Amino acid sequence: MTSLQEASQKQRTPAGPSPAGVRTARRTAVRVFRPQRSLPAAVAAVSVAVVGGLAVAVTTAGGDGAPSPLTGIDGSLSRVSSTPWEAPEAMVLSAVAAAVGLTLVLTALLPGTGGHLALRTDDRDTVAGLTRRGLRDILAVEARGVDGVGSVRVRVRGGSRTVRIEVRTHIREAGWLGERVEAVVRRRVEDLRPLRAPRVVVRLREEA
Amino acid sequence: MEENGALREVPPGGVAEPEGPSPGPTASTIRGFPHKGARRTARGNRLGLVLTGLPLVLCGAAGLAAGGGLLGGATAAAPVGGGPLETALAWPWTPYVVAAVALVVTVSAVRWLLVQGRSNRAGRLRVGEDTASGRTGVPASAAGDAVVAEACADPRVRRGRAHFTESSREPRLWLDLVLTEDADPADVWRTCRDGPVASLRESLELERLPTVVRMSVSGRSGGRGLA
Repeated sequence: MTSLQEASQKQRTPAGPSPAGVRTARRTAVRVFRPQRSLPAAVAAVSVAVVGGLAVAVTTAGGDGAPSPLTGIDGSLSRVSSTPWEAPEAMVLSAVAAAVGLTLVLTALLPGTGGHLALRTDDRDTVAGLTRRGLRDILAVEARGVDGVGSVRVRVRGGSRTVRIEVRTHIREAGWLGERVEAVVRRRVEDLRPLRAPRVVVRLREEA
Repeated sequence: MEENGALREVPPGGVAEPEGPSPGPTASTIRGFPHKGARRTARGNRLGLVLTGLPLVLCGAAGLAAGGGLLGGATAAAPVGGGPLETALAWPWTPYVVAAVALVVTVSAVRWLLVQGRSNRAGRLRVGEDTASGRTGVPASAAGDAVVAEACADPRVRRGRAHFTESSREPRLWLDLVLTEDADPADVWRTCRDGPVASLRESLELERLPTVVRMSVSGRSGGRGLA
């Protein structure tokens, strides 16, 4: 048997995962489900392309001494250039630019949350994730299975970090029901083995 | 020529005859994070957002500082187009430099927009090592259909879709499954890993087949419903 076949055989034997392997699997899962930031990127790319295109048009249109066809833009530019820095419109424009820029930088630098709840696999070659909608539906089924529950509304917020469950019941003074639903849902979440278990918040509403 | 520990002799100018049992899986060259290609657009987006945002922050902060009097009362009262900006605009080459920079920025922005649709998919998968007699390949769609068909044999899986990314020699599998509401996702991904994905890895003679299983649940309960 070659060394490669031995390695392959070793990989198939059900040995416990090493701590380093678990860490690698965890890092891989977190990275795979990070958001692509496609929407902010597309909006920024279109805006930059439009502004850049207008700049090219303005600088090249009046180059040969002929009157510029973009008189509206030329007028706006000359009005802005004659405005003092302390004028309210200049201050507002500066503030807007700084705020938009800061938003873009923060969007890029903050880790963000994807649309999936990453599950723990302890296998560097297997990444598993459940969509937020899937998580919501599975937990809704679980909560509806509790005796005494009338109707259920589940919302998954903050990129699968918080699960809010609104339970409606006809039973009076049913504080215990909320605790029971919370326990059942928590157990279901544990069974899924998420990398980061979401916070479960149950709100009970008594119907007339 | 030594391949995977098995010695295979190739006659000069001739064709290697297959000898004995299969030489085993192809040694993996995957190092570190296996889905780098899939994250390339994400990395580019982060860079683009920072490169777009930073000049805006700097210009905005400079404008606020000038208008707020932090750079002196004379600067605050001066027009936006005056001072050093006026000097720069008076330079005869300024329009050409501005046009060139604007053109580069515009082309970069259009390219940035176009890469949002990049898929990085592999259309054909190679099976085993290449030999002097040629190479064996299989359409990625056929391999994906086989995995999905095997996965869908599980009654907890309603439907699925598979595609491969990165390279044809060492592909990465992306498996999207739609489960029934009562399915246990943790059990389903384990079954997929040990069943269809392991079979495919062996069929493709790969040491590693990094796989991403993305699961959703069918049903239109919308998270609401009566008991």
